[in-house]
Order: sequence, then C-alpha cells, then structure tokens
Amino acid sequence: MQPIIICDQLFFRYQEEQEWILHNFSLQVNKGDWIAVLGTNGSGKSTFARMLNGLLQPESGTVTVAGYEVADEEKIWNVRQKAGMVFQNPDHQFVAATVQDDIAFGLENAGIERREMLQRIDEVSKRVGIEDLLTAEPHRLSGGQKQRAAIAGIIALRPDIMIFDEVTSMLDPKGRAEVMETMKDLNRAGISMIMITHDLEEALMADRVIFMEKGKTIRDRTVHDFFQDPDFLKTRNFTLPYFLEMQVALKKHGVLLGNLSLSESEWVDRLCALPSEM
Amino acid sequence: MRITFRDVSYTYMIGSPFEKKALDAVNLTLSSQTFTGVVGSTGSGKSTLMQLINGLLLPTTGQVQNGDFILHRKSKRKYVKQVRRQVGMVFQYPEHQLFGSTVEEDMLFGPKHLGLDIEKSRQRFPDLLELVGLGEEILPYSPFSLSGGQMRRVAIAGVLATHPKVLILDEPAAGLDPAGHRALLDLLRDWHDQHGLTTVLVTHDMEDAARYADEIVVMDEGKPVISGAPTDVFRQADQLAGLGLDVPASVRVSRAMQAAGWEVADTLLEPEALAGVVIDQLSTVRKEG
Repeated sequence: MQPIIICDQLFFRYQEEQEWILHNFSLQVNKGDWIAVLGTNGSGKSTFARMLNGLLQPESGTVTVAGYEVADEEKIWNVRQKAGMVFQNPDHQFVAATVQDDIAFGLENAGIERREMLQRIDEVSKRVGIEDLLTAEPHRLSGGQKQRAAIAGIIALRPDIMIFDEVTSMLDPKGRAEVMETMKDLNRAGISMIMITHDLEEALMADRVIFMEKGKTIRDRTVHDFFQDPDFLKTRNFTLPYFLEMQVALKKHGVLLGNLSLSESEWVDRLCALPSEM
Repeated sequence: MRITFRDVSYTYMIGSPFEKKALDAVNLTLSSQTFTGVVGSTGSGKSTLMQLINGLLLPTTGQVQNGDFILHRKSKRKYVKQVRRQVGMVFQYPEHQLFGSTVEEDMLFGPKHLGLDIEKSRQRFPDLLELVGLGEEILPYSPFSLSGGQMRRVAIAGVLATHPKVLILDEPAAGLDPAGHRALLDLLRDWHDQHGLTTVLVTHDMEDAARYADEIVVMDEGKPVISGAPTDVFRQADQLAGLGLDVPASVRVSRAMQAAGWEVADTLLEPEALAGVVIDQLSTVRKEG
C-alpha cells in the first residue's frame, strides 16, 4: 500500500512551557483509507488535522502529504490543493455571494480557465446534490446544504485527501445524513479521508480508527477490531451505540457470542432470528 | 413557573419581501417544574418559541404567560425585563458570548445586569464552578485562556449564577466529547430537580430528549404537532420519520423485535434492560422446548 500521508514524530504546543498538544505523534495513512480520529476534547485531534495542510506547523517532526513536505513554503499551495479541509461551522466557510461564485473562487485562485471552471462547477454540484442551489445565497441554505456546498468547493480542486473536522456536529439529523452520504460517495471515488469526530456511529463508517489522548495515538486499529473492545471506550466515558451496548450485555449472559456486529440492521436481523435457533 | 402560549403567532420582517411566519397560532402549556424537550427540524419554529418565553421576541398576535407575567405585542420594556430576570438562557455555543477580561467578570455580568446583590453572587461562584467541574482558582484567568469545553462550563455557571426559575437550553452540549456531553446534561438535569425549575431543552438529539425530558414537544412548520411523555411521542415513529426526525435507537430496536414476534413493551429501555427481556424470553423458549 502506498502511503499518502506520513506524520513523523510531531511535537507541537501553542506556547513554550505549555504542555505538548502533540507529543511525538506519528501516523501513516494509505491511499484510499477512511480514518476516523476519536479522542476527548483537548486530545490534539484538531491540531493534528491542521498540520496536514500547513495551517499549523510542528515544532519538530515532519509532515509529508501526497509527496510534498508541508514545511516547504513553496509547495504549500500544492499541499492545499491535494488536501482539502472542511470545518465544523457551516457559516464560516463562504466568501462569495452565491454558491457557484464560491466554488469558482477556489478555482480562480488555482488558475483554472473559464471553460474548465464551468465544467467542474457543473460536475461537483451534481456530485454533492446541490445543482439546483448554484445561484442561491449561501446564508439561505440549510446546514447540510452549506456543508455540501463547502465540500463542492474543495472537490472542484480535485484533491486526493479530504479532512473533515467535526463537520456534522452542528447539523440536524437530516443534514447529518446528507453529509454522511456525500462522504461515503467521495471515499468510494478513491479520496483518502481523515474524519475527526465525537460520534461513534460516524466512526463506524470508517475503515480504521485512531484514538488520541494527550497528543498521542493510544490505539490504532481497523474499525472492526477497534469496536471489539468496548471496555476501552467505556472506561473513557464514551457511550456505545445502543445496539453495541445491547450486544455486550447479551454476551455477558452467553447469548450471541462471537464478534460484535457493527451494523445495527445486521444486528437486529441476528437478534430477531434468535428464538428459531434455539 | 408555568408557561402558557395562547394563540401565539410570530412573523419575521412583516411587510418585507422576506416576511416569514415562524409560529402559527400556537397553543401550548409547559407545566411548572417539568423538563420539556423541544424537537423539530431546522426552521420548524423551535428557536422562535424559545425567544418568546423570555421576551427576546414579543408575539405578533396572542400572548405568552410566564408565571404571573403576560407578554404580548405591546408589552413595555421594563415589564419584559422583569420577565427576563426569571429566565436563564443558554444559547448554542455559549462560549462565543464570553467577553470579560476574567472569568469572574464574565460570571458577574448576569447578576449585575439583573440588579442582584453582587457580593452575595460572588460568594456563590466557588460552589457554582465546582458544580460545573471547574475550580475557583480560574476566577482571575482570562476566559480566552481556557479550552472550549471549559469556556462552555464558565458560560453555564454564569447563567446559573442568576438563579433563574426558568431555564432554556438550546443544544447546550453540542460539540462536546461524549463524556463531557453526558456530564453537562446530567448536571443541568440535577440542577433542575434540586431547584424546582421549569426547563426547556431544544435539541436535535432524540437520545437526549428521551433520556432527560419528562415531556416532549415536536414542532413542525410553526406548530406543535405531537406532544406528550417520551414513550408516547416515540410510539409515533412513522409520523416522526415523515417530519425528518429520528427515534431513539431503543425504539428502533424494540420495534424490529416486536415485528419479529418478541414481546417487548413500548417503553424506552436501556440496552441492558432490553437484553434482559431477550434473556428472559429465551429461557422460557428453552423450558417449553
């Protein structure tokens, strides 16, 4: 597998004499991976995300993204084209008066010629399902539409990597579902994804989960293996999704042993089939 | 304090091209000392409803009764201010509203603004900070030197320092990690119980509504469309889905089990309890078999 992101022994703090926010943090991400980054508030998750496109630079250690060293100032715009970032607050990400102008803004900066630009706006707006909203003013969109418009602006630049920093935490359930669908679609199209989240249901959609504490990765597993150890999350006061919690309780009574199902519908099917197995 | 909406409508920007009716002839009573969850999709009128309770907005038509106070279109400012003294409001991301140069200054803002005894208020700060999981040593700190989660807790301690009789909470736990989320809502529910408040929690999170509320009001297009105890409200899963709303996972799982022939009551069971139902029925099946 080809690594597309390499973080090597990163140290970072906002002020000298402060505790480290990133403390010897290393991570390698393979092309096409979908990584969920979990951890408590203050564990360094968002700081790590901001290292990936040079919004922050480490005090020591190196970050390599799509073959570019992020510390290389001359290459920073290449890095930002390759690794796009979507933030938590849908209201803080627009610069233009209409959705299409906002998508065009990034393309203009990248020096894309007009014909190509129009083509890309058309393509990405269909991809995220906002083709009817291109002439709308961004502030009139719903939260889910705003986040998808922000995503469209980024994928128009054809990035290899996308970084999502708690992008659904301010959305209602409908908006959240829309954005999650878009994310699944992008990953299927081959984009590597780093998804910072507090939501375990969201983490279940990733391929791999890393858990950060005090600026370090303390666990790095496939999503399947990560969730087979529910006590790890429970001792950190994370509430498990209901269907997982129920499986844990049944297992204690010797019912439905074996691996925990990571999909609610699959679990419900297994559960409903139970009496006939007896 | 009991809160009653009588035929309340509210229209934004009357007479402009952007005129929008946010609430449409709402009749609703929130009983004294209940903890009510208000749910609904974006634009359903939840926030407007909240702002009418403390007089941030005045009804276009109808009246809102808050204890002995009655608010209507022509209520005077001084009168509205008396109502506001009773009502504590925690907006989304309350940490964005901190501005003092120290934590203490920020916490004093509410009591000062409402004309409360400053020295008495100040004496309560250590206890309030402890309650929200912080220490009094942070009183002289700049709020901006704190983490987001700590700032949130300072902001909430500041609202509690005004000793409101009514507490309005708009997604107070949004953006916190799961442990912080649970701890904050537990704390607010305990405060509600201990002080006999009337509390309204606006949320998108059905698990929170199910866990913390005594009553749930579902808003859609400017009207309350379903209300009642959580168990009764979530029994109407199909109608909720039509409004773009979820039901808690406990309801989804127990409904699927019912459909497959399990005997599961329509109550919101904790996962361990629902697992217990499974164990009991399996052992019955075994005995009979």
